[in-house]
Amino acid sequence: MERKQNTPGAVNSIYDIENICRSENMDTYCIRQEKKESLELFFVKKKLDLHRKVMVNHFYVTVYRPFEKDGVQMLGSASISFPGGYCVKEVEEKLRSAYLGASFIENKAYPLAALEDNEQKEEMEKRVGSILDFNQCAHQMVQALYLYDNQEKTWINSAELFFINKSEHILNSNGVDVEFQSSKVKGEFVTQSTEQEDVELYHDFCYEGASEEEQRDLTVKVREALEMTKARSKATRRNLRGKMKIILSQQYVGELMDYYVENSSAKMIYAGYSQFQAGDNVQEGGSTVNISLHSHRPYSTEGIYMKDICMMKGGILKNIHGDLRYSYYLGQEPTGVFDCVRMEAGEVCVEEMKQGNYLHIVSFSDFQVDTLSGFFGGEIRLAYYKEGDNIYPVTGGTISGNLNEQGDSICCSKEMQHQFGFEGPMAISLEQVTVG
Amino acid sequence: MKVTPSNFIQEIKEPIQKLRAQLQKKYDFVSVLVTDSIAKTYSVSKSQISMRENTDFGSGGCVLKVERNGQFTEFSFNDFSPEFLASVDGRLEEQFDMLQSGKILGSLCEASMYKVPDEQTSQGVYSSEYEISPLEYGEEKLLERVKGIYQLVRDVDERIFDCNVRFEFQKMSKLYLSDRKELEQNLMWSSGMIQPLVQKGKETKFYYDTFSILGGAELLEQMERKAEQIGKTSLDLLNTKSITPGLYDVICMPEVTGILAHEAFGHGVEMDMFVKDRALAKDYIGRQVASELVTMHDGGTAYPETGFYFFDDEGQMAGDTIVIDRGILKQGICDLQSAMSLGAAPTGNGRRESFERKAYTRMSNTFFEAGTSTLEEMIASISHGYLLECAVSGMEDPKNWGIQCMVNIAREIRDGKLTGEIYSPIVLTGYVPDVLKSISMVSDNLQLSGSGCCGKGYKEWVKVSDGGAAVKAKVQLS
Repeated sequence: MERKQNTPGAVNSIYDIENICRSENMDTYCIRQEKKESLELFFVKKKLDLHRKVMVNHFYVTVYRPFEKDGVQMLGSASISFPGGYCVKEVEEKLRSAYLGASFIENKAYPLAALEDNEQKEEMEKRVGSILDFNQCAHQMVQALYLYDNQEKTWINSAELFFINKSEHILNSNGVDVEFQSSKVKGEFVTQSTEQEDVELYHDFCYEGASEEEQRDLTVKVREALEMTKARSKATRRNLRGKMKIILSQQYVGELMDYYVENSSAKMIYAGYSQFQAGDNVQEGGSTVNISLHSHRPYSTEGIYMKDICMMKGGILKNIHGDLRYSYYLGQEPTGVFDCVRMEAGEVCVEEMKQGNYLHIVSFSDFQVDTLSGFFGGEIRLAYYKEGDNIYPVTGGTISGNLNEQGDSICCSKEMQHQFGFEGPMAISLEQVTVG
Repeated sequence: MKVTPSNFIQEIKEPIQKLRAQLQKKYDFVSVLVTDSIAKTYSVSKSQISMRENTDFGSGGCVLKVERNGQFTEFSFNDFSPEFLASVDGRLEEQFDMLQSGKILGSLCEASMYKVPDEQTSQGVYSSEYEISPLEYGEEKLLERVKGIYQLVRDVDERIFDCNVRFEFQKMSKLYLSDRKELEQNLMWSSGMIQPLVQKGKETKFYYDTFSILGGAELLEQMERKAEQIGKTSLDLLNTKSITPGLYDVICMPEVTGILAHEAFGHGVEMDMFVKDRALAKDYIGRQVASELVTMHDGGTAYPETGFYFFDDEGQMAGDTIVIDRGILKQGICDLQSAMSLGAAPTGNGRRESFERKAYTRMSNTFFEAGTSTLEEMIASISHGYLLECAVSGMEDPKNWGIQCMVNIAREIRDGKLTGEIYSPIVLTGYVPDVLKSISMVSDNLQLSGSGCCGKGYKEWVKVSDGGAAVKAKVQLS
């Protein structure tokens, strides 16, 4: 592959690619440029093991080819990608090859995203994200991360922090030409405890920046993580068996709700994998799940202007969500692909939820939710088992259930959690889940 | 035929060599890894046909690794203009100044100090082989064959309401330069998946089988040969039961054995976990951790599958590490930075998801050696148990040696015979040494699969293969 940089024959702008498409008579296209810079820190205990910087520029191009087959209008497409600075000649060849390939892709025709009015642009300008000052943010988040790491037998074993600034430019042949930027602070850390048994737990986090609130949230997360790990160290293996009430909290609430989100997507419904239909009670008779979808991005990668939608209300599916193609096939307005699930709070406090016997799982080895069957389950790394008046930290054993059977028993807490990809109840409970 | 070198790498080799030489005057250690890759995915299902360049497997770019005063920093970029290359020295200078000024770390943390690695001089150009290049075969022909496989499965039975068929390949080239090394490699792998879907009431169930090869589009023939049988097997899922949780005798088919080798033990012997004190295996070197029937390998050149490479992303030559020898844990696998920290020898297992990411200790081709039993003898030896196949996922726990795997099919065995009853889905759990020590029979066939990618925790995906023989063990199922 031949590549030349910053020469008259090099592709450095999204408009260079548009010009090539036009000169090659490729009338339908969507081009996206993504520039990313990041600072990355890798810690082993309190020592910085490695420090990295990344600076990359990528183009992603989809060319579409309309044609007719057996009287039906088709729209084939093929996608390519390449870094900035690629030689014009090479880009021309890649585009020609993709355009030829698109003629073999027999998908029914659908329209590309369009910029409908100026209101979108004005609204988008309000949503333009801020850009991080890497060194300042890194200093603040490192301090936030290690603030409570001062115990003798429980500590942060290792951590990775990523500070990312991204700018995107999306241009299509239907008039969409938008640019926006975003930032993210994300990472993971492992906590270890030798209070009794030598154990560890994994945790991750993701924020839009490093505001005081976000720093505080990370500090609290670490403090709670250290306490959980201490509890796991003291946890015992109990041979729990049978069906019981379980409580899930933190990230597992969002992971379980992904079943409803995935099955409400136009792609799953159009393919027949999901039986969900707008107006159905998809919570199987339950009425406690209320979900809306939100995007941190003003535009989807296809150039769809992103607006929040109400997906489920009182267990009833209100709106399907999806990309251009499958939404069009189902006769729905395309919503784009969302990156944040917002679930409404319930009516009971976590403490009220903990009346009677229960198993509250706070850490799994790997929590699995099968979107197709509704099955969920996983091995327990740490749970609190309440029997009578006593609460025991336990480890080992598994839970397994199915949202088609236990979904109607979902009860949501009043207390909320706010993660990057999920905002919703701090905890939910389900009845009659198999523990073994 | 041998995989050809990348023109792009040949073109930028000289300016990159100059940059490295210039930086070498200033720093004690400077290495550079340049990568170039093209990966494509062709997929067909009832509702879509697609063809796309797959950026998940990386693209063209470069990562510099530089040491100053015992501290390492890295810089990843994909701009090779003369102006940008001229600015790299200054950018590295800024990175080090910020790091060493304490402005980031403050008073709570400090930087690790390392000795510069003592590299052996080596030079070479290496290429893997293929029979049919997907790049030259033609998009139309490739798509037609993928569509043909889809139709073969759909024609088996009308209860198969859809089938996802995927074929993908990657051709990649890498150049590693340091003061004493100049290595180039060119590799090509292909992989595929056939996943029929069946429905019963509101439940949709899937079965799948995977295919992989260190090579090219010749893989499609294997997929075509097995398509019909995969369709027939998927119908078994229409009548499944839920298992009664308990401890059972099981036979793990090679893909499930692969999950055991990879998840249960492989992650636990990645020596960057030793550095962090996150792996129990560190304290078990030289001790028995498995039945005497178990010998486990890992290595870039240990098996010609999708995890194959000649040198790793830190310029270390790949090999065949015997991790467990007849039940005894012999050694772990190691990347360069962990080797520097532990005072150990690197084993050629330092791998990056792409030039944009850090190198970690990663597996490559991981497997249990074949034994002497036949599958029939193994089934006949079980009075009540299950034959496990179609592994869906697995998760490691190197610190506490827990294991969790999701398996899609458990076929019941009673009195030494398959009863025809099927249980699904199944969660397999256990304590790793208990599971490995319980292995009482190992089959005489060896089969590796490399259709998926391996993550470090929940990210950093790299292509690997795993597998081995079928094994008889005792595990907890639920």
